[in-house]
Amino acid sequence: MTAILETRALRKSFGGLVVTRDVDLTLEEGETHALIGPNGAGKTSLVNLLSGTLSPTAGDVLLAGEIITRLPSHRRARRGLARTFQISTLFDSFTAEKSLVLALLARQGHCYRLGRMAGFSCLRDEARRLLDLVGLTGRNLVPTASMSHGEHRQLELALALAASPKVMLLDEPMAGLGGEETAKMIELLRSLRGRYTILLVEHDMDAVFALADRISVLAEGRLIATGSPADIRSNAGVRQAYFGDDDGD
Amino acid sequence: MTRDLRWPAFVLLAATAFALPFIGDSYIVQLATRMLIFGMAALGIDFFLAYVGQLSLGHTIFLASGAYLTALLTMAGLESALLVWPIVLLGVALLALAAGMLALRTGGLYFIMITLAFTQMLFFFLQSQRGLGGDEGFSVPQRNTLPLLDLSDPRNLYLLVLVLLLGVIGLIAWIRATPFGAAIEACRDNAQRLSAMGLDPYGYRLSGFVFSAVIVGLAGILYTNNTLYLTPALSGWYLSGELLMMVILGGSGSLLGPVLGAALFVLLQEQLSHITPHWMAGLGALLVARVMLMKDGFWNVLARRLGGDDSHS
Ligand SMILES: Nc1ncnc2c1ncn2[C@@H]1O[C@H](COP(=O)(O)OP(=O)(O)OP(=O)(O)O)[C@@H](O)[C@H]1O
Ligand SMILES: [Mg+2]
Repeated sequence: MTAILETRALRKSFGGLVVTRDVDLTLEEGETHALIGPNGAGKTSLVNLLSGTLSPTAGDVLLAGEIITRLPSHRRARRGLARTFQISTLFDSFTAEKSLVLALLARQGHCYRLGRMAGFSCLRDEARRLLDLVGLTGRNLVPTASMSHGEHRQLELALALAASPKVMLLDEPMAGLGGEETAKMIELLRSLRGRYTILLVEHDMDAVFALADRISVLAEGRLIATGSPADIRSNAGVRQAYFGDDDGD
Repeated sequence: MTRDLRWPAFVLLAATAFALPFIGDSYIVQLATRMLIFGMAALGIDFFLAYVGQLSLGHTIFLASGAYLTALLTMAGLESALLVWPIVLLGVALLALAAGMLALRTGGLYFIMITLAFTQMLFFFLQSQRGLGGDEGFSVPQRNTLPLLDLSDPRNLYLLVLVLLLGVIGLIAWIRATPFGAAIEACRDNAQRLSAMGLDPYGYRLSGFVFSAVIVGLAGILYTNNTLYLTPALSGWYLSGELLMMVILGGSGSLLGPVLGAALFVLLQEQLSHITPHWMAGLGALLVARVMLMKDGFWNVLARRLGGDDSHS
């Protein structure tokens, strides 16, 4: 197994508040690695440090062995790091298809191109295939602003996939979805397992145990455990910190 | 389903505009030229406002630098428009690149303050130039020259301005349909998502800024050729405000809105200032009425009546 994404003694503080405390996290190539922890544990902050949205106070981030700590997020994205956001972060005035065609064009590293957007018909086909994949069939020409919350979550994932990334950081892809939508999203993520390296931040324990190869637990910014789902299930410290379960068994 | 009448309306407007020099007297032609020139400047500012998504109070630097460079080159003996205009546009583009690199590092209110400061610096610089008549300004001896078209005839100048304006409208429509235009609008909608996709928002903002400045610079070139008289007020924040009023009157984010807003503004300015020196109060009342009573500029409201629910033309 080789590490594809790694943090070394990563630390982030906002004034006196330390949200990431000396975190050493390793994502092995091809694994689905769940990141769990109570509200405010610092999961989103860690994802932001990995994607370059935040820059750390100390420590390093490595992608495929290279230090990327100082790279801005668009540079990291070009090296194969894609992400979704916990709060949908989309182009409201664009249709789903236009957003995706732009994302597909962005794989070349720039969009200083003066052909007609509508002329890239093979990219439009690819965009529609991605929309089919995430369950947005037939919604290609709907403006993002008039899509439902669930559809926004699906579009977030489609945009990440459009980059053909090496690593995907998924920040609560199921947040706010209904029961049936959640089940579909779990199915979809299951179909992606093994094809991408995935860091999955998720509160839904059924989803986590169904999808994860390994699980890391964050509490108050500190990584308190990493292990297989079985290890984590039986780890007393984790139960205490996360499940609020103190009977020890 | 009602028919989409926006294209017929646009064609009718353009046809009227082309017929104007043959039916109107020279006063009307000059007034109409002024409308079109301010319409072009308003379009440039609105490109930045609506598509790049930022308010600038500094675009009059590009109007003034376009106008002053044209005047200075002309007075230095360069008369050919084919020579002078590209040089001036290049100069304005470089100035916009430098100004944009400084100002676009910041956002929101800081950006507005910095661009405002730029206009004031240029204003006071121009005002202090004795050789350029200080506050009073100076007159330019002649228009630029073109082969085949005699610009000393105001009707010809008007027609040229009209064609260039239509060209700018076409250019904006085309840019918006390209990946480059989409990336510019994408960073207005969500810069964070754009960088997560691997694109650097700064570059698209900057090129949008330069593009809008060049349009305003072209308006400046035409301004000099039309009035043959320049004053430092061309670089003032006051004019920036007026240009924004034109955009708001007509409707931001459409291709005809800013032009029609400018036409209305120039017309009212001309008519009301004959009646009362307090004409600005009347215009202010109109602007308040527009903001209170209409959700959008009058062209956008009209465009919706004419068909379609967006504002593509
Ligand atoms: N920009 C910021 N400035 C100050 N504090 C911040 C900032 N961003 C996050 N925090 C704080 O950092 C802590 C961790 O927040 P974070 O969003 O990373 O938690 P989380 O684990 O993702 O929580 P949730 O499960 O609710 O999404 C919180 O206490 C939050 O208030
Ligand atoms: Mg979070």
